[in-house]
Amino acid sequence: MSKKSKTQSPEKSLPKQNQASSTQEPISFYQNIGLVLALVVVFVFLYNNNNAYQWVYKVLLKDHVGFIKKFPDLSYEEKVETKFGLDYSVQRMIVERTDENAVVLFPPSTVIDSVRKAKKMPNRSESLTNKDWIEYYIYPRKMVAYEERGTAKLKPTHVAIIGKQGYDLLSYPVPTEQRKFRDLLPISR
Amino acid sequence: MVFLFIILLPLLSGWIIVNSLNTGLNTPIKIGASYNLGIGLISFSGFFCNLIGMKFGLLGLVLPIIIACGILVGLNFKELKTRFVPQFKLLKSEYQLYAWWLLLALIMYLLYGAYMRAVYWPITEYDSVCGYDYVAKYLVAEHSFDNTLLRSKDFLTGNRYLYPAFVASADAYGYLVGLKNAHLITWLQYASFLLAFYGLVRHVAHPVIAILATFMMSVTPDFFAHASFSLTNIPNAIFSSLGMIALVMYFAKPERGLLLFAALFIGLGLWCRVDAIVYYILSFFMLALFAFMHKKYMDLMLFALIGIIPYAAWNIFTTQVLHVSASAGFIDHLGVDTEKISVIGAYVYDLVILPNQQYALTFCVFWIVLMANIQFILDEFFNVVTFFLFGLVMYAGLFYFIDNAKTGVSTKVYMEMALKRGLFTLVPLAWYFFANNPLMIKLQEKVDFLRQRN
Repeated sequence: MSKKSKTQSPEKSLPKQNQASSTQEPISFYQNIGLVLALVVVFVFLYNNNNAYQWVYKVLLKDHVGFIKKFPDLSYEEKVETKFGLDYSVQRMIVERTDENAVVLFPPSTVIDSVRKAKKMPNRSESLTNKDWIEYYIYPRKMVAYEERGTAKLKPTHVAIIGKQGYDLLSYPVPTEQRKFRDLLPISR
Repeated sequence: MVFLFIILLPLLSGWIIVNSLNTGLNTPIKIGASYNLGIGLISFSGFFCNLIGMKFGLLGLVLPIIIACGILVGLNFKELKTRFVPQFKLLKSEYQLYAWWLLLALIMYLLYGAYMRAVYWPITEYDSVCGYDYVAKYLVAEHSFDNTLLRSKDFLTGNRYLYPAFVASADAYGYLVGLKNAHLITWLQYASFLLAFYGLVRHVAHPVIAILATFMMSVTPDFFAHASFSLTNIPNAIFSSLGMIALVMYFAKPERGLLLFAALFIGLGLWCRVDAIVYYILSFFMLALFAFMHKKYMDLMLFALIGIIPYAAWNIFTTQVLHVSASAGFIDHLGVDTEKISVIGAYVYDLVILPNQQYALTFCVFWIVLMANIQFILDEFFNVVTFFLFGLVMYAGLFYFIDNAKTGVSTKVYMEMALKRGLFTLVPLAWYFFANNPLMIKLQEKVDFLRQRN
């Protein structure tokens, strides 16, 4: 470790400071073109032989920028809904149809999970059973999970209906023919 | 408002501080580092003022920085022109190189794509929605870090204190001045960092080599994807890698300005993520060794003190105000868990040795260049390779000490969620070494048009 270096450190072997004043040897036109061609060949080879670089170009650049140019005027809500579908549509409904002090009671997480399963939606963290996730998008409104309804300090003002589930949490009956797949209703009339 | 506070103020304040340090760095590094330093210090200032009793708001965020910059300009008033006016002589060497323009165009295209994604898509990153940006909303609403959210005992919420508040505070700063999408801050950091990295490599390499290393670093898949996310990983990688590369330059030419520059950035890395403590400890030990060899004890003390301030302040806040401990999730007994070691080892092998979706060829190139320069690592200790190798071992090793039973998260999940992004810090180190190794230096000496002359 402390033995004397046999080779110089790169920092020592090149002019270190005031590189701004250093210049390069002049480059000829053919060297310039040759260097460009060499780089192009290397990049084409890397691109064709590596999925990860293809992903950068095809997905992160081409697809995303293409989508953005195709739909430049989507609202915030529409953009989030594009990514999260049903999950965000419930949150959006809450924001659009309640005051900022609303407290929304959600159906049991097992029910929500079964709805997701029936709809063949992937089981992920960003879902309607994740309280933090939901409260971020409905902020400053609050959510009360079914499982915490007995202990929660907040008193629910509304019930989120998801997959026709949650009507039993209302203090009044709703006729079967009026029941919707997704809805938001006051907890009492 | 947004231009003034989100772009101009961080850039200008960072510029004044960086130039006051007398680092001898070139203009691209200083401009690129300035934005990152400025936004980092503004974010920390807001927290620090809140910690000592002020409301979290614009006053606490910007006033200390403006006052500090005013003092620095006042102290250097006689050298105003020589010290604070940017010099662009460097670029005179690059304009004749077609390859340089080609690579610049590719970098600009990447930045354009990242910018479009950053400003178009709302924040939907899980860790930001359930973490940093959510905290930012409460900071704006309640004007305090001691807020309802951070005090909540909910499982996810309760773990938010594990992350120091760079992103939360910077996002909140953005919202206070009317910023619609906080992704822009990360993008600005990323774009500035590319400039700084180019300048760092340009210090020691030909313009084409420097811009090639910059391009290859910027196109590293996951690294690039995160340039449009409001997460801690890119800011941490930027701060920590800038700090470590600056320290490598300090080892070659031990000037106090460079040391302070390194200390500020290593400290800001810790202001993003607690696990950046690995890079602080590593830097500290390398610097300690250097300090004992060269009798630079004051430099060591300054580094140790400045680098730890954000972490210490955050720890004081979490333990004294929130009454929680970030160390609660670590093991409290020693023993050898071979299964855990093999899980960590397997993931490290997949991520760092083999070509993969996250890093493409970045680390493969590093190992190839390292093998080609094997004598170099045996001879030189105070270089970027030491930071890379020890950084990798220490960062991966950190997961061994997490008590999975206490946190309720398996090692496998930590590997998949945390390790792969945690290695971002090593990406700039890998590409810096690609441009700055004995073989590359020899190549530049042999090939006439790659040669530099003074």
